[in-house]
Amino acid sequence: MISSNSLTYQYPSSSSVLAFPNLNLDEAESLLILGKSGVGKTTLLHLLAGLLNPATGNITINHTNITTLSAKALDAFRGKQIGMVFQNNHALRSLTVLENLKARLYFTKKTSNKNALVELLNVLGIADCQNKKTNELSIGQLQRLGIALAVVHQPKLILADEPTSSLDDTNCTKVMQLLQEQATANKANLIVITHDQRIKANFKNVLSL
Amino acid sequence: MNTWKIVLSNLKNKPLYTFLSVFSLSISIALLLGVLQLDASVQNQFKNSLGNVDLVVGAKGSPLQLVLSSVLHVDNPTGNISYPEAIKLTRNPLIKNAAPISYGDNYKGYRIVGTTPAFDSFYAAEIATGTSPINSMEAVIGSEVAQKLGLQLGDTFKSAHGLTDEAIAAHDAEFKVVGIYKKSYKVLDRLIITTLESIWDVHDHDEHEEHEHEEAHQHETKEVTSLLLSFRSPVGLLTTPRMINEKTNMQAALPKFELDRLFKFTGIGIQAISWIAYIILIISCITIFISLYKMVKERAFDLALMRTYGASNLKISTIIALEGICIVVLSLLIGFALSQLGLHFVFTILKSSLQQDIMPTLPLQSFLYTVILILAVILIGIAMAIVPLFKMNISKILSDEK
Repeated sequence: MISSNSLTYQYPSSSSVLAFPNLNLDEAESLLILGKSGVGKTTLLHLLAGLLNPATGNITINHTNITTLSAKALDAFRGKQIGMVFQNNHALRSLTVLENLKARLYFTKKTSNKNALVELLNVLGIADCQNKKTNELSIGQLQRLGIALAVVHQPKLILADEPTSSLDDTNCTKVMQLLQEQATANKANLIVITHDQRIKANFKNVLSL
Repeated sequence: MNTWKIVLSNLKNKPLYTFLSVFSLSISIALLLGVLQLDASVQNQFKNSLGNVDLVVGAKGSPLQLVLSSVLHVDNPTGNISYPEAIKLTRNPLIKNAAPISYGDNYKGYRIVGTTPAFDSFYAAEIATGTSPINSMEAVIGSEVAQKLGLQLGDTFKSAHGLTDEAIAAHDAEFKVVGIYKKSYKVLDRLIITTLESIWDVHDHDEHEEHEHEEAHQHETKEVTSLLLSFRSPVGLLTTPRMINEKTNMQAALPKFELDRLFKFTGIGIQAISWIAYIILIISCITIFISLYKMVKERAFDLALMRTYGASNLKISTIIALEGICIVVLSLLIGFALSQLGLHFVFTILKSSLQQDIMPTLPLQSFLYTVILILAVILIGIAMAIVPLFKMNISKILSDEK
């Protein structure tokens, strides 16, 4: 469950204020936010992730108003409740695939079970890459690892920033399918922001900025 | 998975940076610690070798030469002094201990010193086996001499004229080993001690052969090379040297004063090496700083990712600081090992040129100061690399990546 109320953001170095429409998603509901670059899609996503502070308004995730949390509590909340997927960079470069998942859980202060991790990689089709460094993976494999890192700690909210923009059609379809399956499996809200029109059909709720 | 594992993977992932940092830092640490220890060991060695000798009286000439030859036994003597005159000097109530020494001969490069039993108390010398020399042509030898030349009690040897091994003319008279000193790490280890009479006898005998018909020669006044003195109170040190220098044709030299003068010269070299080591230390600090700083910049996305994983700023700072600390600890260990290895090497060389074992001295206090200084300088470098972390704009880093 996630809701936002009269959310605005002011850029530090300018006087312009961005105002965002109110969001209201029930449990496990997903949302696609479409918009051209520069309209503040990523800003909205980072506000929802608690990486930016709003000028006004509230964001409530799973009954917690994250705009009132201290920096430290916000770090911990983000680690536990939110998973993020990015366009290109997805994992820590000095670690292997499996170590990345372990590190992800370590930072969230959760214990890791190797079998469960390998099973997750298996579902995402990259179990055979578990001991590879991230620079040995293809773009499609990297994006699957990105999904694994976003869901391994069973978050309540998955935020994806242009997850398909670098992918070809085949990978695009597959990645979106996996992302939605994982969100459903975790009963998590999925919010995807993109300018990629290919994935429009995957969503019931579409918001244009 | 834990912080250490992440730190170690990060270090392994940039082997060149890690190697360069550890390399330059450990070299500078090795130089700093090595020079410190070498300086302390050599000074200690010299000071130790002085024993309780407060003053040395010899023929006029360079006071440093007199100290080097008669106390440290490394240089040639300044000349001889008259034995009766020297004995006259010892009738001073302020004098605690006096030993005339006489030399000019060697056996296979080890100096033969003719003296009286008083000599032993200057160095708190103890005899390991055998006795002190009582009769002429009896000798007690230092532990190093015994070991290197394989001499044992009862062995005999012939001395050669001069102070170095190259001397050709060998005397006919044979010395007999009656005692061996305990190892002392002092100059005593490489000396052959005998009675004054032995030296006179050896030379009289030779001269007798050379000048068989010059009977008068035998009645010449006895001579010694120098006289070692120690005083009951510092008052003796204040008055006696002046008296000797002004009223006799001999000179008095203060070994401690002369050595301090010598160290002022050698200190310049030590100082130069220290400065080089400090410069390398600063360079390696800059290397570590740049390495960590670049890591913070280049890996900004990795660090931002960790923040989205729930890691606090403190956690990320800890990871980066630990990377630096790993390098420092590793360098300290390698640097210390290198310094010990280097010292061992230098001591081996010194040993063969001085013919003497040097006791390695660890000046604990200055050692600790140096280590603390190194740590402080490097921790400042690490702290400077971490500061930008707290100003990091995660949102900007994540969105710039597209």
